Amino acid sequence: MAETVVRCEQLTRRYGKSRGVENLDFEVRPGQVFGFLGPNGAGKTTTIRCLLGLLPATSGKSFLFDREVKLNDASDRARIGYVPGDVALYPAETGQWMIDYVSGLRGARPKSEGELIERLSFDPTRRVKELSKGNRQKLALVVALMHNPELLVLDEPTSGLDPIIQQIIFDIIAERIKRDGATVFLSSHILSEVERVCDRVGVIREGRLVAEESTADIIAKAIRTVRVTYDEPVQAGAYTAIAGIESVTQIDDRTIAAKVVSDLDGAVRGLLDHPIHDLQVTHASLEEIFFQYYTTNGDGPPAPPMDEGGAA
Amino acid sequence: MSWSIVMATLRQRRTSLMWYVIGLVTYGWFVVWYFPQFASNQELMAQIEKMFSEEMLAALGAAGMDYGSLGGFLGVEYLNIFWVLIIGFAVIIVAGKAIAGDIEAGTMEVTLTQPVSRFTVAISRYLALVIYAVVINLATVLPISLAGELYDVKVPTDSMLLLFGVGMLVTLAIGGFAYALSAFSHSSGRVTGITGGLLGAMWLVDFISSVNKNTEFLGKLTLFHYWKPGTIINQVAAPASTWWVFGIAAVVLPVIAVWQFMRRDVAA
Repeated sequence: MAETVVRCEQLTRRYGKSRGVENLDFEVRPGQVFGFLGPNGAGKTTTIRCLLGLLPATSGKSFLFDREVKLNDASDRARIGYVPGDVALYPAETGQWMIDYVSGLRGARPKSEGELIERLSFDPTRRVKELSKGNRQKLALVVALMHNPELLVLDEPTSGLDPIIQQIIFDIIAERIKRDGATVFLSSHILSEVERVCDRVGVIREGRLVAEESTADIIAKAIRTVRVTYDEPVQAGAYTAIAGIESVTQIDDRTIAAKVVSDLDGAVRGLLDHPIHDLQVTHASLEEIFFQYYTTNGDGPPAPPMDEGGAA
Repeated sequence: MSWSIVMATLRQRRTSLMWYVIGLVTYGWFVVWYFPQFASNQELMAQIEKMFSEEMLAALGAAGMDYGSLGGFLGVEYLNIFWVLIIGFAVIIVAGKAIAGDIEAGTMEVTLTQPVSRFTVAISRYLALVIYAVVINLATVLPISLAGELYDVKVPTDSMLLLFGVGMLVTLAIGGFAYALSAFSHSSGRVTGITGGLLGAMWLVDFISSVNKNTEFLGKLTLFHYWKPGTIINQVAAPASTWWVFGIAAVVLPVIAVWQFMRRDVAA
């Protein structure tokens, strides 16, 4: 069994003088669900295209199943199912033709074609040009998953789709992870879907990986908001000097909200200088963390802003 | 080689192939059908020939041709220029779509993310182009032979076999050039424009070289100089230079295309 399913070592891809991705280093182990997070234009699709051998790297290497990706070596592609965000299919052909074409290239009959078609309520007799964006994406999912691949490479698979289809697609992906132990490489700018299915997250910013941690760790390390309601009136300014507290907001005369960036224990102890009526500690969502990376580690927030649960 | 890719490539071009076949069959049939009416009246033929200026005859590839012979007549009316342009554009479009067009449309990603190597894809797409060329060349020679039988025109079988062979090389030389360009480009329109423009430019250079002694040497730079269907039909022979020029182009250009495709970006 491969030690890593996906691995990049100093992977760099430039488009002439333009940036693509720079010195990417990360790995995805068997059974992991890796979220590759970044706004449009950050380099997510470039990374995937390098991994799939569609684009040659300018420098560095990428590996699939511990084998270096070569442009002309397709031996491991039978183990991969790829769903692009905006799939391009032959418009004059039917869905069934596409399924048969891909099966012909793989030299094997699909294992779960019927099940997927039924689950997705997809009509394979219709021509691609007659299909809506959602139905084309369903067809892409059938084609990618019907041979039960070990690695799913999903490049913004629900981009531009309505919430019902998004839900169906993620239910199927979640099933594949649970049932088959599939490894997933999910590129997305929809933070809620990454938070929902991924156990590890890489954040890419302007072609560089700015963070790579487990989803739980990245959330645990992030800013927490401690909201304290006291039994008597207090002034927010009295708490700003406590170590670990970045800022304190006055909510009402007895309630304050403190943003804690480190030393949660010390910060909470410092806040408890009066009898309290209520105390609430909330973790930042992945979306807030994402903005944190873009505002503290970079020059400014990305544009357009993230749209949790939908396409930006 | 992947038959799935070969068949899929041909399937994508099936409608255009059908129209080219209908056009070539009709054209070839029609020219053979009215040839006897001209051939039986040599006086009229001589008068017609006198009506045209030397430049006009050169433009039609008829300079120095015996217009009254089957080869001369078919050459002027059909094969010298018009046939090259028809089959040229047919294969240029197929070759342009085979790589550049597929990348432009984004559909190449579907193929290349399956367990088939780039080499297999490139070879299979070229084989589809060769099959396409076989069909349009059969659609060229078979109607001439069949119409010859029907209208009492003697069409030697060996001349048609030779015409088919050299025609294939001409088709694959043009198609091979477009295929190589397709392997370098992201736009099938650009491939069609450049190759079509080059074909037009070659015709112009051939014309200029035919009417002016000082520029005669330029003719050797064009494929029209080496394509002599009248000689092939009348004498059942093709000069060695014809075989060499088209043969080398038909072999070397696809090799360049495969080599380039194996190392290029494949992203729309």
